[in-house]
Amino acid sequence: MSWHYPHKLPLEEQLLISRYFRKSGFIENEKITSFPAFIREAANCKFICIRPEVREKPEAAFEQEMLGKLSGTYQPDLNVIKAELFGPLRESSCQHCLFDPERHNQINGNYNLKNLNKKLDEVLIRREKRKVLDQLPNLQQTDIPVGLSPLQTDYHAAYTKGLAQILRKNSLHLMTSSA
Amino acid sequence: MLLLTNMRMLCDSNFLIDDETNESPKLEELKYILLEKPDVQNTDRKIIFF
Repeated sequence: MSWHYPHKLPLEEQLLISRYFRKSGFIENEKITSFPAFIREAANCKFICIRPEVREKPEAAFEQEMLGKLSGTYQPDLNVIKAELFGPLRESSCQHCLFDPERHNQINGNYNLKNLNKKLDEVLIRREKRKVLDQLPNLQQTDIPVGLSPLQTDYHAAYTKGLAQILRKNSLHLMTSSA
Repeated sequence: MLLLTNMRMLCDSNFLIDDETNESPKLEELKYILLEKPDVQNTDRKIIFF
């Protein structure tokens, strides 16, 4: 990250730059994780312009650093996974799947699903709509009109133009073929 | 059909058409709705998107 301005900066902006860059004209890559704070502070500074690609770099470095810290300290709780719930795959499959007598591993149907649901009850929230419908609040629909951005409008107009050309061509073709 | 599909997609975000740009007023509005109204950051409510 580097900065350059050939003229004298207003005092406030000069102080901000020297707080982050010291007397240097750049920040080393290893220290750019503190740069988002500079971007926030510089938001109202008239003379400090930050290119979009420069904004992304420290944010990515910050995320990377946070992930690194988390992966060093975070221990996922694997106790919630009950590996013994179903037992060996083939054995549990045979309790619920109807295998094809001729084709290996082809499943034609299932049975004993009540038993399967009972087993899954403790680990899976699975409720049928008809059973919980009276517990649900009434459906509310709210329409919120949101306008397109200028770029979206341009794209939309271009597609509309293309669509209109196709429709015109098709209708002309229909008219000439019916005449 | 392709043009109509593209038109529908770009109303969500032009990133779906052109991955070098990403403008989505809908997502901005959604962010506002989620952060301001149900205040998702400070509640344990769950939200399902379709």
